[in-house]
Amino acid sequence: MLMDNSILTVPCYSSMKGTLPIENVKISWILLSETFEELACDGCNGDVLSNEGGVFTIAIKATAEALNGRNQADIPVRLFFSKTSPGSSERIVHKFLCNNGVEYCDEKNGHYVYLRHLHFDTSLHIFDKTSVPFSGKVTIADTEGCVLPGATICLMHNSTLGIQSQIICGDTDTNGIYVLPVVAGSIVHEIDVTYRGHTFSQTTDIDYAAGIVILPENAPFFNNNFEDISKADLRVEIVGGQCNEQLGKSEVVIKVMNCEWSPARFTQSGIMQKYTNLPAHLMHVEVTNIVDKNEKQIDPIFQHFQGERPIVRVIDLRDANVIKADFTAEKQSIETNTTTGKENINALNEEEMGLSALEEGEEEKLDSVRFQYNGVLRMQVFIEERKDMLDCDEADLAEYGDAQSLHVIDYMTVFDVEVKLVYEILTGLFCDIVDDDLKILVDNQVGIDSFAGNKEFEQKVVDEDTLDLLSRCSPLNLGACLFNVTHDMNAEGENSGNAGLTKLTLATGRPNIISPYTKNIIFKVIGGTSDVAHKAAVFVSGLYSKGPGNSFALPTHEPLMILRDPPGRFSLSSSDQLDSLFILLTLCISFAGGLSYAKYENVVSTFKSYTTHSETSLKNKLNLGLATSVKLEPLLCAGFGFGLLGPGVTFCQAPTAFSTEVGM
Amino acid sequence: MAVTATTLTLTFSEEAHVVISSMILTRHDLDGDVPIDTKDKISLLESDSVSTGQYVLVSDLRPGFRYTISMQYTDNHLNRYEENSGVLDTIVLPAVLSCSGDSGTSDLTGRPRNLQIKQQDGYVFFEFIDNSLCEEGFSFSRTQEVDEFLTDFTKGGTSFTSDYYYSSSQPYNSLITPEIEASDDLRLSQLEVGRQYAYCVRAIRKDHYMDSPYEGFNDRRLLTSSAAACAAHTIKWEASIDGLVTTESNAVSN
Repeated sequence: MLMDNSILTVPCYSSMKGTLPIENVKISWILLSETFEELACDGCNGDVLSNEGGVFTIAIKATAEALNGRNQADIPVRLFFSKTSPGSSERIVHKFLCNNGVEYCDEKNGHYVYLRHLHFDTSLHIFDKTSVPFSGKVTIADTEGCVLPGATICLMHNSTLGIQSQIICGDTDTNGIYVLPVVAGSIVHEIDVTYRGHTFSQTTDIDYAAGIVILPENAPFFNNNFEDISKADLRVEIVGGQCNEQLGKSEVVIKVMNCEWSPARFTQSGIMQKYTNLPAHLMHVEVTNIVDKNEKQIDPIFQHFQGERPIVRVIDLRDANVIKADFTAEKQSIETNTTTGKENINALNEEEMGLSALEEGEEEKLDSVRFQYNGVLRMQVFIEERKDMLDCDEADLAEYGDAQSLHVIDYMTVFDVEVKLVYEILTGLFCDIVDDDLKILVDNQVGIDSFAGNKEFEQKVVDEDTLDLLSRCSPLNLGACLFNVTHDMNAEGENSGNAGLTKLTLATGRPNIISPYTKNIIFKVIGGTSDVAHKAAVFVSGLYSKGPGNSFALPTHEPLMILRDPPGRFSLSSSDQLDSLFILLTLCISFAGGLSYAKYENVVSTFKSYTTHSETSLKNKLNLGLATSVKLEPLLCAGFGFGLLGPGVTFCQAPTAFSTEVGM
Repeated sequence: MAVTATTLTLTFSEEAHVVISSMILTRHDLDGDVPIDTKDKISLLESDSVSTGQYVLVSDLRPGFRYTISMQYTDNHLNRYEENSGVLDTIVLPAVLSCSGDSGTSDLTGRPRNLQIKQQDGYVFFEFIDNSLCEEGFSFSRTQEVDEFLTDFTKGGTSFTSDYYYSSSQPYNSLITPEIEASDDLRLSQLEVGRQYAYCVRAIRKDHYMDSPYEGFNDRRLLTSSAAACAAHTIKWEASIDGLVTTESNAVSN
């Protein structure tokens, strides 16, 4: 309900500067009784139109019984305001503000004004709140209509005093289209399009500077289109591995992301090519083909780049120019820096050069995409050569659980392992730099084991360092180890090659008397895309104690395990007769050229304990109280023990003789 | 004797057979009697004697004034048949000329015609046709008594115009639209909405200053005022709104 008409105020006309009159607004009115019932009489209702100046007058002259004698009564009058203007597809229905513009006029129930007989000074100011759609599209120049979402469009107005003000702002949608509801009466002098510091150009010949009066009568205001003319450069690298090997001649597609646009394809021969004058946007880069010097497609690389899931690099060039400008400004800032002391100039220059080089590298990364074909990752495992006693020329690795390598190491021997990772890019083309995030898993099974008597064995190892070496990376201890891949580094601190695991020290424990008589070290590459693993089968040679009354089966086929009669007090053809069996194991591998064998002599439950002084024999009490004394003089060497004991410790060579005593 | 606004006609009866020897015409103004030279005003006197059915027409007189005709004549019929025939006799005849320009009506006062009343912007306006040849102005009155025949309520009415009369000397038959000069300002008169009022208008001369309780007939009519033309009007409830539609004040367009 409206207030008494006496408090209706109309803004002073002088304060209405900046408004435009709205003509042809239809004002329908009807007189109501004091109880708000519509009066039906001649002169009780009517319609008027606002004139060219927006002015309308409702002159009411009515004769109705309800009005008789109501000279001093406030009679309600209900008003409706309506106007439509041509629109695009539908006519624009105007919206009006009542109550001095503080609220919309009630279109359903009307706006109430209270009048009294012979009051002719009632004024009413209605505001046309109609929003007129002002729309357009923002595209990316030099494309096939690729649109630009997220650009901000602001309609600007220049006052007669030269002050520019913002009428309304809005963003383009995913289709690059903006629609701004502009209040009727606004005059647009300029359209500002902003997007990450880009430059825009008008694609129509609309003269905004002259002022576009936004009125429904002048609608529609479509096709206020702009295009983004910002450009950027892009470096494309197509390389083999991290060694940046040349791959071939490539066909490159560079286009705006998420845009149905088929631009001309580039041909790139070098490992890096700079493309200029590209749209400064999110760019989609693809290597669509690669051929060798004979113009023949290099299939594995093509499949890598354009296989089931083609590799697409997306580079954000939207801020490239801004960042480049920042870099330039920073460089200039450095150049203009002054020093107060002459002695500091050189140091400063060096610092600047270093910083400049660093920034140039960073700058290049900002507008670079890299297509890298690594090839096939291969792993090579190297056992310390002087500890590896395998002297067979060949071995059937399938016999050793599909191992990738076979090694023979004396029992209780410390040895170093080295792992190398290398990508084979193409035949004969390698790269020994791998991703830093690759890791190497080492599952060491050559140290401690779970064979019979393992606990007694481990108990005999009293030295913690020795036990640590035996247990290192063992699943029976703390589990497999995971090592970072290391590289050689160049002067810039970058990986220069020799990827892998440079030195891992492990130690052999007891031999394995169960077929295939080897113990394994399993290496796996973790983090790569392919499953790269290496199983190194290690034949641990030496003596093995079965314990009293036990026996084990001998191999019946090559490689034969020969129980060698140890030089000394007895010979063995069967171990059943002994309470404790000391077995000397030797692995012989038959080859076409004759019988060869790896020296593999083993001492059961005897380990190469170290001594720094003069210990010449060890006593070993086995489970049944059998005291076994093994004379070790021939076996032991000075400083007998693992090599991790420190300087002066030497490793014992394989024993050449031993003796045992039963019943000691 | 018959009068119009400007003529005076003496018609002699069937028995009359007189010879007019002289005729003196006097107009009676407020300032005094004014002898009228009838030399050029009397017509149809083909001879010194007139017979039955003959008449004397005095024309070009001022409407609405009272005249006296003093006429000396000899009655030939008497002279022939009566003892005193041939003796001069004098007759004085008073006459009041009509003010009405419309000779087709019985009204001689010049009452305005076609009185129209309209209410506008808090005023009651009048419009009528001047039917008087004598008027120097018009006088308006209003009364709450309204009957079916719109009787002349002038005498019981209330004056509402600024001046007693609305000065106007429009030619006869002019449309008189005094507008606000002779309107009823409803703000002042405070007339009740929905009530019917009678408005009357009459043509007057400047020297009219009061009405007579007995006037109203042609033979007792005022020479300074016509009869009134009246019309009824019901006071309408009236107000207005002056509106303006503009764009929003915050629409940037200055």
